[in-house]
Amino acid sequence: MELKFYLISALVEASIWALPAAGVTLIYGVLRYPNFALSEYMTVGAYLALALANLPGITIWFAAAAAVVMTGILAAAVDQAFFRPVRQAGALPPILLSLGLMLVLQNVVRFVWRNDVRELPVPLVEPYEIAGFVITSHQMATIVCSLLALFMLFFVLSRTRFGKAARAIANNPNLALVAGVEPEPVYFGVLFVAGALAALGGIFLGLASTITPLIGWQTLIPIFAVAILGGLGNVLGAASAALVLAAASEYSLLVVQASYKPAVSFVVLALVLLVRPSGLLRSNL
Amino acid sequence: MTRRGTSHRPQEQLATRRRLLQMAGGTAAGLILTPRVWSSVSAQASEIALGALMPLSGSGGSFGQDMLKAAQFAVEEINGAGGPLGRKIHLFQENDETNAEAAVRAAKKLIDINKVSAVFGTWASSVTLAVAPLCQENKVVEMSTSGSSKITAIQKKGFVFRTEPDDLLFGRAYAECAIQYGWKTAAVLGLNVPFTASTVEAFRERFEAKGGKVLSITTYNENQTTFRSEVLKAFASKPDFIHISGYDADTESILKVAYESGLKTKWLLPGFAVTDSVIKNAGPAIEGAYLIEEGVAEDSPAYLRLAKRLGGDRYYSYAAQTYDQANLLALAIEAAKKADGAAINGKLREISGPPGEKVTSFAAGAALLRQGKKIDYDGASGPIDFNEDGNIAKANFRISQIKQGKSTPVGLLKDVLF
Repeated sequence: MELKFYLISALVEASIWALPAAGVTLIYGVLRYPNFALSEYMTVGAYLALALANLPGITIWFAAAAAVVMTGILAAAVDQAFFRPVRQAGALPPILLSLGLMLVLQNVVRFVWRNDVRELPVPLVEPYEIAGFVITSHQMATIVCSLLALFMLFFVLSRTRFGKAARAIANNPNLALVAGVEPEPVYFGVLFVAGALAALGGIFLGLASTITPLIGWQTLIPIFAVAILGGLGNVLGAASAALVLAAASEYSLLVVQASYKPAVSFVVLALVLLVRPSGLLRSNL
Repeated sequence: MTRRGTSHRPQEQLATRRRLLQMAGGTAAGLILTPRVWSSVSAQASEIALGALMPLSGSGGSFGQDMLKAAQFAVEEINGAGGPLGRKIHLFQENDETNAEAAVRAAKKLIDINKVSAVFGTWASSVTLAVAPLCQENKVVEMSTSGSSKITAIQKKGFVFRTEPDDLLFGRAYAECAIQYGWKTAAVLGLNVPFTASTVEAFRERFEAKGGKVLSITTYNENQTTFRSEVLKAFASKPDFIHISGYDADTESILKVAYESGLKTKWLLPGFAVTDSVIKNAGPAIEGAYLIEEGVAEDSPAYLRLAKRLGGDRYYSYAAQTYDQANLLALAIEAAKKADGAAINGKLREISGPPGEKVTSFAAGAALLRQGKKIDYDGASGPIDFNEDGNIAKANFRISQIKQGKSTPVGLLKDVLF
């Protein structure tokens, strides 16, 4: 019974981590820098959903969808405004910018919505028991929507022109330029997708626990662990890694004390990197 | 544009005149503004400066506003009675943001610029611990409403006092409550922060000494994505009740997760973790949960005056403490016949505990002190008798239960001892 319970915990956790981690890995693959601000887009997305859902006549589905789109546009706009000027400036400036952006986003959220603990206006539900698994409708929605989002991302990357362009730039930026790929629209799209995914992850996180200005910051390290484990730049890798790390974290409770839980993810990460330094899957979008 | 060959004399004169006017204007403004600026920065010579450093935002934000109003009310009463030594108190206020760094900056400003004799009202243990050395260095008294046992060690060096029961007392109180209700087995979910360790240990000792059994202690971290598995662990041994030792966000998450996993039990929670928004957000998940809150002296004339002034619709635990802190500081100044920190430090224990005639207000206490008598201030938050470590030696606690979305008092634990 415990095992089945932990499995649902792991699936929910993996669903929440996989989305922003996919965003991180996407940005790293195409733009070649780790974007530390992505976790804060989780926070922004959750608060936007909260604000919209609290307006009269707006359902939680619409609020979530709108928040996801708005955050995606915000991420893309911020990238065009602040990161575009430093595209050619080397590896360090975008990293530093993203660190600063992380602080700014978190504190703007704090400034607008204050520090209180908030909840999405979704009533608490009792769980279903299906074949020994205890799961609520919210958790099912989280897992299913996350899977759908990952499938859609995979589809976009493999079958659409935008996806092909993104993969081309990730593979070889100079060759892509020569072949006639326009980079900026691709970057816009990549940031939009990453921001949207992060927002969706943030909303699910808010649904699973609470909404505070810190929820993104608290998830920063797990999502980077997931992205690195999955092979930076590999979206399928991020999804698999999320599952691996979440399962390891939750099932570790069978053998170690709960206070060691954060350490477990890193032990797993370290062990895998020792054997396969580039992560679980090849660094290929 | 100057014409070639013009002498510059007219421009020079204009420049000099302009300069003169500017200087004159500046000086006049300076003279006019100085008293105003000065008085906002330091108390007038006859006034006594005290500093209220409270959590007006952050985790303690929901308590800070009342704490400040209570202190201001006390100062109003004190000044209305003439003030200690016939001098009025000027209360400088700062926000510690429930953050140690912000608090230290604010304390520096209060001590160095406003020249306060005492800083009071710090709520979070991290804040109190950070500000204490600064106060001790500058011989300024610090009074807090913080619970961590670590503060006792700092208090031994003097100048630091608190009106909040030490975490150890809280731990004992959880145990006494469980025993009172006849609960035999417990599981603990503890947030991985310093106060949990001391509180849970104190709880376990008292609970097992009186026949209870702690079946499991599961520690969790603040930044977890989901608490489901930890909650399951706590429920695994089927305890009579589960005690959560944490703050508002994680307590809310745990209650929610338990409800949404179909797991039910009796919850025993710290009052400071269950803010109004937690009660609202947790809805059915928190129904029936028990809270332990630091007690107040609900029958005391001091508490009744305070509650009436603040609106009377809430339970004012921390506010009662800051109200008392202001009164204690004023009475200590009166007794010492001096207003500096060292003088206050020397007299605080004397006027707050026995022997002495019991008083519940500054006016009554000051009158007796001026007749040369000894007093024992019993305030809105309780008898407040400081022991040699600057702690209150025993405390009352209130047991409340969440019924239909409201926190309702259901019991009292009197004189819980270390």
